[in-house]
Amino acid sequence: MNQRLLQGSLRSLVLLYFAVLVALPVFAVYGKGLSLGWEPFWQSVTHPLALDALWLTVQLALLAALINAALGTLTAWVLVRYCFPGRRFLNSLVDLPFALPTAVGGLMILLLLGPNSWLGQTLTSIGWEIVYRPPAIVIAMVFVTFPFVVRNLQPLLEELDPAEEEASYTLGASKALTFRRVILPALLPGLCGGTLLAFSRALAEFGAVVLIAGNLPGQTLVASVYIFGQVESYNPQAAAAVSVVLLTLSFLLLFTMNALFGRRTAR
Amino acid sequence: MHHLEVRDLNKKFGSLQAVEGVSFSVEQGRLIGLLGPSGGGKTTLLRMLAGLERPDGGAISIGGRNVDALPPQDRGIGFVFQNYALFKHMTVVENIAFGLKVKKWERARIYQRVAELLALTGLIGLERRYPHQLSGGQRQRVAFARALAPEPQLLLLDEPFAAIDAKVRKELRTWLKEMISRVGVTSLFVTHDQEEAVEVADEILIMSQGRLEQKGTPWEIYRAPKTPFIATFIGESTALHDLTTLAPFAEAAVSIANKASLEGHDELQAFVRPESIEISRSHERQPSSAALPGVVSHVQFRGDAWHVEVQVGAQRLTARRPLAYEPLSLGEEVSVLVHRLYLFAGQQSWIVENPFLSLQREKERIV
Ligand SMILES: Nc1ncnc2c1ncn2[C@@H]1O[C@H](COP(=O)(O)OP(=O)(O)OP(=O)(O)O)[C@@H](O)[C@H]1O
Ligand SMILES: [Mg+2]
Repeated sequence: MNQRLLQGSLRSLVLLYFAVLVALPVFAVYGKGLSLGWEPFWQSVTHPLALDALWLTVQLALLAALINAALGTLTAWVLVRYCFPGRRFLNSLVDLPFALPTAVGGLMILLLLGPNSWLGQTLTSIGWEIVYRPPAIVIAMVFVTFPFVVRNLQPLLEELDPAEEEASYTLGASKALTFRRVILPALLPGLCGGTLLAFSRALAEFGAVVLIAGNLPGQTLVASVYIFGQVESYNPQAAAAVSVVLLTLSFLLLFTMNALFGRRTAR
Repeated sequence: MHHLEVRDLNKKFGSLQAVEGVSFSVEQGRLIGLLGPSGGGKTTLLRMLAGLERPDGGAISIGGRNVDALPPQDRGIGFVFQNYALFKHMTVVENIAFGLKVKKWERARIYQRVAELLALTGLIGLERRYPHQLSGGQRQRVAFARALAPEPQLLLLDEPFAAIDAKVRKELRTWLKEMISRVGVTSLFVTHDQEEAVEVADEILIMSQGRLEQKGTPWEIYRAPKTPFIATFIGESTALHDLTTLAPFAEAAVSIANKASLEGHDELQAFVRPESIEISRSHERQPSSAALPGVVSHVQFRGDAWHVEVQVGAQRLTARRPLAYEPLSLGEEVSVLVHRLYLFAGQQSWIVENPFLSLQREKERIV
């Protein structure tokens, strides 16, 4: 009886939490975005600057997510498979982007690569302009979403049975083939999940990007900064309209991910 | 020409000598049981044969070809891992076909080979299952089929039955023996179950503490164990503390002890097996100088025989008594006939038959 009660109240608590912290704000955004009807919503979204911002964001976020897929796999592999001094320290460092205010992340990139830094000047002198241009945005996005892929892959890598790899070798498969046919399929759910999360998060990144993007409308203005600008200029409906696009995209990604891998993880 | 030859193989893990000076050879098509206590170096030896572990010294040749420099991919071996190590995200068919695809066999040939192995291992109907949808015995057979598919020259199996319950295990090992003799592949399997080794293997290698203790057919090893370790490991031998209690053997023992001490070994160890002790009530057999008087100190029913412990002088002996005879009771006086015992000194061993018994047989023949 008590057990039942406990279960019931726990469940209600979770639902309440979900409603207040997730569902209500999401509905508020959809409500606001569509508050003036379909026509103004459509106009806000298809406004050339909004479209540019959205398209730029999607492109750069995708690039950042792909970079993280590769970089994260490599990092997770090294952290799990190799034993070297400082491994534990590096491992704890992976979470740094989550622990830092993202603005600090942006500032770090600015200080490292900005026009006043040694590295920034050197790169400019060979014709590579990074800060206030798209590459800086990608770097910021990669930095902020770095932990997703690593942390998604680590448990899977640790769980891998080394005997499976050895079996593959004894059956004649080379290291590369074994990685592709035996290891990668086992990592795929974590890799896709981590990459999608990184993509989702990169779409929404504000703090790190705003400091280094330059925010030139039509050129380096990403969606989140555009939304911020619309709110600042007393245009909440347009801000919400663009947010609705981002939100819907995120939801689609989450659902795809669940449909693809949910069943496997539920097993 | 031997099919598998191992010369003076050594392997150290840190300061631990896991395999030490192991040499042996195996004829084509034989099924070899690698037996020994836990930590004896069996897995390490097998992994070195497969190329999964690099030996510190020694040479291995398979099918007349030295494979020391070859990686596991090129040794032409099949390996069945203790936990099977099936590819979890592949179906039964994909698991079996893996090695063939890697070797770039033609599709039609792969299909044919896989079908052949499915039939051979009785896995028809399970083709599309994933490993987690199979029973332990079925997984074992998939692992076996997968290892066998690329037609290896040498099949290595590390405790193939360890994870399977006792009943299925018995069926599987008979199955494995048949299967291997049908395929004709030279095989080495690890076990620490002596019954399993004795039942399945053509020959047994016994390893302990990294060293090869003895190699021979199960019967040879049972009948003539070379070391005290093997005498106690195969069968439940009892160590004898004082040879003088076994009067019939005293003379032989003394002469062997003298010979041994001449060669510098003063420690003579003696063992007797329960199967070579006959216990009877005085009315069941004629009194004879070959037998000794004893007192029953423990009786236990063991399913297929009575397990009896008798006190003979200061020595307690363990023996079997067939169920066909009446059970003995505690404290009963019996006559104990020891047929043979095993003596060891240094590297040498002797089997000593009861001298009075052979004398008696001689007489009976004359009469
Ligand atoms: N990779 C390793 N690193 C360090 N020591 C090892 C390693 N592999 C095995 N050993 C040690 O080598 C010895 C032999 O091990 P091995 O696994 O060959 O024994 P085994 O005969 O297979 O035992 P079991 O019957 O328990 O499987 C053991 O003492 C073990 O602890
Ligand atoms: Mg082992």
